[in-house]
Order: sequence, then structure tokens, then C-alpha cells
Amino acid sequence: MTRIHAPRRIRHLPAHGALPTLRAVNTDTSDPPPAAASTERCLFLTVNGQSAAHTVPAHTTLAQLLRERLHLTGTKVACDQAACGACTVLLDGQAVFACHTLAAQCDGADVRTIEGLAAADGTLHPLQQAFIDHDALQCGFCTPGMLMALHAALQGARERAEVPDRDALAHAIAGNLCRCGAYPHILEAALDVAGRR
Amino acid sequence: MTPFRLLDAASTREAAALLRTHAPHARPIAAGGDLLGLLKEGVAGSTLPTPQVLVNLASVRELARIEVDAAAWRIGAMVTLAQLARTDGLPPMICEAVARIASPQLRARTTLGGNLLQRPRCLYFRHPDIVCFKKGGSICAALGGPARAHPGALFAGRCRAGHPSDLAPVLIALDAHAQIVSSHATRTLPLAELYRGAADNATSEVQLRDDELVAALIVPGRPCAQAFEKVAPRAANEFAWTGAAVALQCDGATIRSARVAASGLAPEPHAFDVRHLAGCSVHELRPSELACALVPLEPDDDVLAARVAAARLAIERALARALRCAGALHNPRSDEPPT
Amino acid sequence: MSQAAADPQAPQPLPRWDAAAALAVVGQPHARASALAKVTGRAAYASDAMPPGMLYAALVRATIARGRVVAFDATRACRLDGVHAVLGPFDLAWPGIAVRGRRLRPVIDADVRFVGEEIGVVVADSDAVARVAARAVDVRYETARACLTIEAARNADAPAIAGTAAPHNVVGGVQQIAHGDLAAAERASDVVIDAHYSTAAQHHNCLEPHGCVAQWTGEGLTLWDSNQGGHLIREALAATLELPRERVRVVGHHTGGGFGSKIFVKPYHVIAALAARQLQRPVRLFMARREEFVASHQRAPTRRHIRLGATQAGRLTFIDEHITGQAGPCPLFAINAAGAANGLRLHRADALHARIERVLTNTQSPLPFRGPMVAEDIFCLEQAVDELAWALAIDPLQLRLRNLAEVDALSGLPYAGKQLARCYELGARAFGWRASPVRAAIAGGRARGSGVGALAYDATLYEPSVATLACTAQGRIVLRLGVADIGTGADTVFAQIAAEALGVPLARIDTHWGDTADTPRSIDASNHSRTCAVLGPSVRAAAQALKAALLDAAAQALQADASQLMLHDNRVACRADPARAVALAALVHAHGPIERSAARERAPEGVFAAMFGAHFVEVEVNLRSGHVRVLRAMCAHDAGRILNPRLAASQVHGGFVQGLAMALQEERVLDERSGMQLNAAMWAYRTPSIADAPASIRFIDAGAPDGGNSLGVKGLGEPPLIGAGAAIANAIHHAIGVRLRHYPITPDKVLAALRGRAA
Repeated sequence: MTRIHAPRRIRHLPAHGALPTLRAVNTDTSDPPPAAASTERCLFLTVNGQSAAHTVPAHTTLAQLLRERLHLTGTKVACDQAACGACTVLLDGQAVFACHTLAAQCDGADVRTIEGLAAADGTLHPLQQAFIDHDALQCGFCTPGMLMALHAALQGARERAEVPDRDALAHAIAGNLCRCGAYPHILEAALDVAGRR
Repeated sequence: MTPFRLLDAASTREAAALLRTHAPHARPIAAGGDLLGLLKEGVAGSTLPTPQVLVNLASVRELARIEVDAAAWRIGAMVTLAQLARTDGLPPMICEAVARIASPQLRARTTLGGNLLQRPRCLYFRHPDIVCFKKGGSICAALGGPARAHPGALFAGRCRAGHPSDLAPVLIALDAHAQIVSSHATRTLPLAELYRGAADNATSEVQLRDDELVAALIVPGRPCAQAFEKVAPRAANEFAWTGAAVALQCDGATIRSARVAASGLAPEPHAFDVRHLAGCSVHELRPSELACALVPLEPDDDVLAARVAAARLAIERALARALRCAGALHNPRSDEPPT
Repeated sequence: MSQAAADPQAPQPLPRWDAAAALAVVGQPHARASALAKVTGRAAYASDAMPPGMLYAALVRATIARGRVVAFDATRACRLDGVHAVLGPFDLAWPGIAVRGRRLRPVIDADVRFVGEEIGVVVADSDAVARVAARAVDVRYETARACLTIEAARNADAPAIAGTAAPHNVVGGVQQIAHGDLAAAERASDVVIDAHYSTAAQHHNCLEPHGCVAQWTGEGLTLWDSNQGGHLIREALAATLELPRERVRVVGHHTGGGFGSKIFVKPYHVIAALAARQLQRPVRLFMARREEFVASHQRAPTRRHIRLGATQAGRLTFIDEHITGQAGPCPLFAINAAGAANGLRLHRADALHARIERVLTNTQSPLPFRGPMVAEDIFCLEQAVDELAWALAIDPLQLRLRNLAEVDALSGLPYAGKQLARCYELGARAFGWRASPVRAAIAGGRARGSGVGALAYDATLYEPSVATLACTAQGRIVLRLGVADIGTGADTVFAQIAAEALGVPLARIDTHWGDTADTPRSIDASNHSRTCAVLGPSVRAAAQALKAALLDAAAQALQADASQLMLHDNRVACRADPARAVALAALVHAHGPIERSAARERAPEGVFAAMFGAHFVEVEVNLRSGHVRVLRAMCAHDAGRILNPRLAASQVHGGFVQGLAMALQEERVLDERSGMQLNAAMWAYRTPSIADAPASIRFIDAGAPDGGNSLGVKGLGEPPLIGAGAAIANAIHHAIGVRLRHYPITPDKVLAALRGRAA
């Protein structure tokens, strides 16, 4: 197929710093995108103990699948750029950014979200209770991701028979931004729980 | 993101073959730590086309193996940073660098290959509405831009972005080789060679053909005094201004060979020429003087001056620690306290 | 927002809760009411709303800084699977947002005044398709010359930005504040500081982006919205769409961050509503992170020329500021560009003068950001005061103590309450403040120093406010408030006030907020640290009214006089014999719903209400890299009566961290050729992580119940940010002996200053 490049007229900005900055010219005017069916993938996922098969567009992120397919909206998408941590979930026991993980690459995985942190009978996880007791939150948007990141860290430490100190806990949430600035209380809550083990 | 097809492969060769079949519309995807960011924002251009097919390297199990023999480590490109951190016996500099990269969540999934092959973090490159040299423009868009948007490279070419990978200088300092696999051939070359010409390369920072994959990194197992130090705008979760890696092979107190490389200073991971250090005694060397000599720039611009200071600091710290590691009898002179 | 100082229609205040009042619920560190929902992921934010049939919208935004759209070609965009509509400037008669009887620019328009301005919208089946389609719209522009900085706009040959005749784009002329004889004060000065300062733009970067979900049911619109107050959004949207208020319902239970950015109706509200009406489907329009930097707007960059003088004995003679703020393209929002009043009222001086110029530019309008105009002012002014102290060889704390204003100079009124002296005293003691020379603590390439900075913030922004309390058939007390939960504790503290006034346990009270359909109008929006002062008195009044009603209703059942009765847990009981009681549920069963609303009490006349504080900070400067680390901060605040010390501490932590970020990290990096913001990404725009926060931030309650209202409360939302910057900058000076007058104080500036000193 002949590729036709539609030339975009280039707008030159007046001379205040010489160099024109151009809007990105998308010269990809070739075939239309492939048929929908072939851009889909199937995967099998266990989320908070419940297993199911899903068919999704290949570009679907784990966060989108959790929120839009499974209606588990506790996992938040804030930056969608793997930079803020609000979307943190556990994937096969590790804290990951659900916004930056293709669902199709999670076939067979075990996922735990904030909705699965408390016990089945509703008993709060010690971290959740500690967050309430220490007021380790304000607007709450970062809270699910913050809790899951700390949960993963405490679980990991327990497996290694370690007791995380303040530095280790801060390291565990280095990728979780709290714009409200609840950090002091968050660390207090985490230390409280870590110290009990 | 523009919809794409995600194709699995059972082997590295098959993955490479898929790249070849669907060229030039195909790209490999590891964890997507870098690629997904570009796709989500629509960062594209004539030399950075939006792919229609992604070849899923996560499906190629052999790429995620770590093997070791008497001579060397063979680390598959799909080994995650978290796995690297958990692997006993690796050259310690690798774990030092990993601990300072990104966040725990990204380290859990992103890979060695992904880290080595990531694209620049220059703010012009990453802006979807700006065309720069690396996206098909004729010149660097950052040229003439505000100092505070400086893309980083102190040793620049047509591209002026500093290379963002911290593991690249580490592996270059360790004299690692990259094993590159295509649909019908395999080649191995020193890692630094892979990045040759990055400054003038309009499509990439590496010399890889459309159907080639970095399959593994071969890291010599011989012990050496080594250290990695990173200076960044903030304390955590940050791309380096400079990530400096130093490796010294010594006979007693005499340096037999030295390798020093750094991220953030050039469009390719920058390997310094330190051949003159061979034959020197570890006691003679002054890290702060050496660092100044390696970055002999005195820019007028304050932002660049701060980057020079950061580069010298990272190099000096890494040198100091490596020299201490080499069993110096007394501390080499450094006005920086041990980190 | 009104500034009704004294509304003769408002009811008289109730008797004051004075310092001696023994309060059982107010003042206790009760857990945040919404905490359980937030830690379990059940808290509902607007971005979680997904009504059936919902479509996704993405905005098309201008990529030039000034000019006109001459062609909007949707051909490629429409070819994508799943696209329902592509609407540009020529497709609909887009209305402008109604503001105070005028209309702003049509929400989608061909006229472009800054990079990122809205020029179109795409609606599709999924977010991914909508965004790809938005990028696939082919737009052609006619570009005009843009002014991207204050300097460019003030140039003699700069084009007029707002089409008005404002010379050199200074809107509204030069605003003057003049108090006292400046010339005489200058003559009386022994030492004069004369210096230039600047502050940078600061983006809110809330974790939950701006956005809403719009759904029409017949003629009625429901909007799930991330905002700081649903009632203002509702009214402004109704006015814009020319609908009766009753047909617009705004729902917003929890908002993932606001900080001043989510007060007003913005183009996306209107666009989502119109797209939803056009397509007869619910439409979700939320910002992607890059465009969030456009949608949030920002704190304005400012430049200041500050002069101040004092006698050798340390008596302040004059403060004279010349301020220029970057005002954006719309004169209506230019007010947000700069201010000086709160800085001028902070210390006593013989003459207080300011000249303020707001310069129009082709950058998005400034909007409030926590401590708007005040933080910029005090960050700089408190450094100048510090400079004065060092020039006089007087301890910076002593200089401030010698210049406490008894009376508010600008209004001429005594303060309703002022505990600034106590802030200095308690803060200094807790910090261990000692006078010491600069550069006295340098070792191993690092320098430590300490600094102090004070703050004042007017508490004068009031409005009529209604709160409703009702007793339910289950015997529970429901407090209805037209307010948002932006993380400050509105979900908790008002229930505490109600519980206190009723005399029942806190657990008896449920607070209901966040839906304009079933809440009274309690406030425009939570801003200016005033929510407690505005709502608190109406809640207390409503509680008194409900209590009276319940006692009256029970008087019959118990055959007693209401004056002999009291509320006791979930019953009304006789004081003399609590066993004689009737359940609240029974009362409702007998009488029907029992509900009372009350309006906010009249604000006091003849006094000026203001918040005060003093921060004491220790920093460490890395002399090799220029990095600054804040080691610890003592934040002493006069916020009147503290309703909940645990939540108050959270506010102080949060405000301080944002102030630290404004002082040391945050700025807009703009390509001045194209007007594009280069660092509009979460990974590039540096907001603090745990690694940037100090190891210790302590809130010191130095306040006392204030005379501004019958509860004695003031505010604590913004002061902790306002006080942070200068204290940090002053500490840096103490550490390294150089002044960093241009915020943010990034490593390159520190190193440059050190080189300058060495030279």
C-alpha cells in the first residue's frame, strides 16, 4: 500500500528565540489499526481469592481491569505514569503499579487489592487500624496504594525474619506520594505495626 | 494508548522472528516500564513510530534466567531489578545501583534489559507535542530552551540528553558484554559498544537492528573493588543527575586496570578514559582531584554548574569508596564523609 | 465568596465557649470519621463513579500560546473504532461560564489565549480511544504573538492581551496600600534593607485529577464531581447552563485533594454536561496527568522589591513592597496574581506601603493555592525581616518580639484574638532556639542552621451558612452539611460540635455531606481556612435548636418541664431521675421527623479576626551538591480553639510539607518559545515523597479561644504552609551565610550563592 504523507503546514513562531517548536507530525497514515479481535487477549486472574477469566484489549492495564471490569474502585489511578503509587496492588505478593502493568502480562497471577486487605469477616488488617488510630491519611486518595505498599513491605520483612526500622519503612513507600503530606502519621502508623511483630 | 496486538513467543529466536515479520510496526515489550509511558502519552514521531504489534518478552522464559559459572554471570535481559537485588553473589555494585533506582513497585517488575534500553528523560523528548531530533526533527529541541529544562548531557552531541540508565554504567564498569539475538544469528559485544553513536542516532540510543533483541548480559565474575554512587535532584524515586560506577582491578595496592562510567552525562552511558590510572598506587590517588579532572568543565550557567558539581560529587564518592574497598591502609583524601 | 463582616440579618451569637469551658467532645483527638471508608477502599470519589452506559471524554487542547483555530478536522479521529462524537469550536454554540453576571470565554472556542486552552472534546467508548482520537484531530492555527512572562507582557511593544487598553498589560492599574507616612519613616530609619525576591508558580498536583461525570435524567443533571464544595459548583453550573438550580445535583463525597484548585466551575464541567446532553449518555471527563497541570491552574509567579527599615534599637519604621504578579489572560482572575495585606499586617511598623501590579500574560490564570497571595508575600517578607535582624545584629526572634502589632494596622481594629507572642514563646522553647552566628555549624561538607518565620492570615471571609440537624426514626442524630470532604476533617469536627452542644456521645451522630440534593447550603467551598469558623457556629446553633425541640417534645411524654430535662445518650431523661426517660426513636415515632436548621451567627463588629503562627526550622545544606534537607520543624500556631488536635496535627504536617516543596522544589518549567510547560508530569514536577519530608514536624498549639465567633475557632488549613518558606530560607542563610531570595531554592541556586560568597 502506498503510504501517503499528508503534509502539515508548519507554523513558525515569531522570532523570540529563533527555534520553531512543531506539533508532533504523525506520519503514521498507513493501514488502519488491526481488527479489534486480534488486539484482544485472554487472561486468567485471581483477585482477592476469586478467580476468573477475562478477555480484554491488549492495552488494558491491570488498574483498568480491576476498576472497570471488576468494579474494584479502591485501587486509584492518579498519575497513570508509574510515579505516584496510588494504584499499588500486590501481584504475586509483590507491590506493583497496577496502572503501568498490562493485564495481559498477568495471566495466572494472584492479585490482592485494598478490598482484600481486611479479613473476610471484615476484621481490619493491623495496618488499616493503625492508619485510623494515627490519622495516617487526609483526603484518602493515596491511602489504598500506601497501605498495599506497606503491607507488601511488612510481609516481605516477616518472611526474612526482619523487623523493619523507620528507614526501611520510608524506603518501602518512596514510590507513594501523599500530596496532603500525611507522611509523619503514616510512618508512625507503620512503625506501630512493624514494632508489634 | 493506541490499540496494539500483543504477541507471545516461546523462545528468543521466535520473538526476534516476530519482530522481523512485523517490522517496522513492531517493538518488544518487557515490563513496559518505559514503553507504556511513551505509548500512553502518544510520544511519537517519524523516527519513533507508534507500534501496532508488541512482542511480549515476558512470555519468553529463557530470557529471565540467571546463570553463573566459574568465569561469569549470564543475566537474562528479562530478569527483574528485584530479582537482581535478591541474587546472592552478584557484583555488589549491581545491587547498590538497583537500590537507588525508581521505586519498590517498579523494581518489582522492570527488567535489566528495560533499564538498559530505556529512552531519554529529556523533557522535550517526553513532550507529546514537541518534535525533537530523536523523534525525527532536524535538531535538538532543547537547544535554546530554558536552563532549568536542561536535558542533562555535559558531553553532548546532536542529542543533548543524559542517558538515564544507572545499570548501564555499572555493567560497563564491570566490563560486561551484551548478547544480542536475532532470528538467525547471535552476536556478543562489549556493552559500551551497544551505545556507540547514541548522540547522533535519530531512532535510538543503541545499535540494534529491527529484529534484534538484547538477550542477556555477560558479567565477568572476577572480583574487583567497586562502588556505585548516585546524585539526583531528590533523595528517592528519581532519575540521576549522575550515577557513577567505578571498578578497579588491583595487584596489592597497585591498580592494574580501572573502569569508570556514569549515567546522565551524555546521550550514551559515558565511559571515561582512565587508562592513565593503571600502575598507580591506591594510596596516591585523590578522588576529588580525579573527579575534577574527569569533568573539567566550568560552565557559566548556574544549572549546568550544579550538574557539573553533582557529576564530580558522584564520581568522587564512588572513587573514594572503591579505593577504600581496594584495601587502602588509610582513607584516601576526600572532603566528603562516607555515605 | 462574600466578605460580609456584619450581616444584620444573622442571628445573635450563642454564649461563648471560653477558655474555662469544660468540653467533653470538642478538643478531643477523635478518629477521623471517614478513615474507615478510606482505609478499606470504600470511600467514593467522583473518579470512581461509573453509571451504566457511561462514555469517556477527552479534551482537545491548544498547542499554541496565542491565536485562533482556523481548522478543526475530525476526519482521522472519527475513523477510530468506538468514537461517538468529536466536537470542536465550530460545532456547537458553547457557552461561557457565568461569573458574577458576566460570561467567560466560551468553554470551547477558536480563540486561544494560552497553551492547553480547551478547543474541542472527543467522546468514546473507552478512555484509551478518547485520548488517541483527541490526538488524531488535525488542528490548524493562525498564530499570534504571545507574552509568556511578566517581562514580555510589560514590554513597550507587547500586544494587548485582554483587548483592553491596560497599558503594558497591567490590569486594574497599580493597586496601592498606604498606611502611615512613608517618607518620614524612611528618614527615621537607621538601617534599611532593599532587596529583590521572587516566587515561582506552584501547581496543586492533587492526586485525584480534576474531572466529573455528567448524567442527565430528563431535564435534570447529576454531576459527580471532585470539588471543594458542591453548592458553588451547582449554582455556577446552573447559571451557565441557564437551568434552575433545582435541576442540577452535584454529588461529591470525597475529593482526592483540592488545595484551592477545585473551588470554581471550570470548562470541563460545562463540556461534560453538554456532551452528556448531546449524546443522551453519561459522560466521564477526567484529566490525564499532563493536562491536569493546565486544569488545576497554579499559584502565580511573583516578583517583589521589598524595602524595610528600622531604628538601631530594632523598632520597625517602614515596610514598602513593590509587587508584580503574573495574572494570566483574564482580568477577572487577575486578583489571584499577587497580594500584600497579610504580610503588611504581620508586624507593627510606622508606615506600611505596597504597590501591586498584576500583569496579564498568555499563561493560564492564577487560581488560589493554599495561602494564595499570602504565602508568596510572607515567604519573601519574612526573609527581608530576617535580613534586617542580621543587619542590626539583633536576634531574629527578638526583632519580631519587639514589633508585635497590638492593633490591626490596615483595618484600625483590635484583634479578636492574637497569640502570636505565645507562638514565638512556645515555639522557641520547644525548638531550643538560641542565638548563634551564621556558618557556625559546618562539618564534613555539610552546614546546619536554624531559622524562624512568622505568619498572619486574615479570618474575615464569611458568608451565610446553614446547618441542619435531625433526629431519625432509629434515634440517631444526623447532621446535614453542604460541604465537601477534601481531607481537612469536615466529616468529623462538626459532629464533635453537635455532640458537645447536644450533650450526647459522638457515636450518636452521623454526618451527611456531599450531595446538594439533600444538604443545606453551608459554604461556597472549603477555602481560606474558614470552614470551621463558618460552619461551626451554625452547627452549634442547629444543635441548640434541635435540643430544644427534642426536650419540648419529650416534656409531654414525661410530664415534666423542658427545663428539667436533658439529652442522655439516645434518650431524653429527667435530670433529677434519669431512669425517667423517653427514647429519641419513640419521640420521632410519635411526632414525625424532628429537624432543625440554623444559620450562622452574626460576625462580631469592631474586631479583626486573624490567624497567626511562627515556625522554627533546622536545615542541613550539602555544600558540595547544594541540596537542602529540612531536619526538623516546630510549628506553633494560633488557630483559636482546636476542635480536634489529631486532625489539627495532620493539617500542620501537610501544610508544612507543601510549604517546604514551594520553598525548595516546585516550579513550572516553561519553554518560553512555545509556551509549553515542559515538566507537566508526575515524575518531572517535584512534589515531596517521604524522603523529602523532615524527620520531625511538630504542631504546637499556642492558641486560645478566639473572639471571632462563639466557638472561639479560627483556621489551620493554610497557615502551616504560609509559615514554612521563610523559616527554611532563613535557616539556610544561617547555615551558609548567603541569602537565597528566589524560590524555589534549588541546588543550583545554593551552589551559585556559595560561589558568589567565595568570590
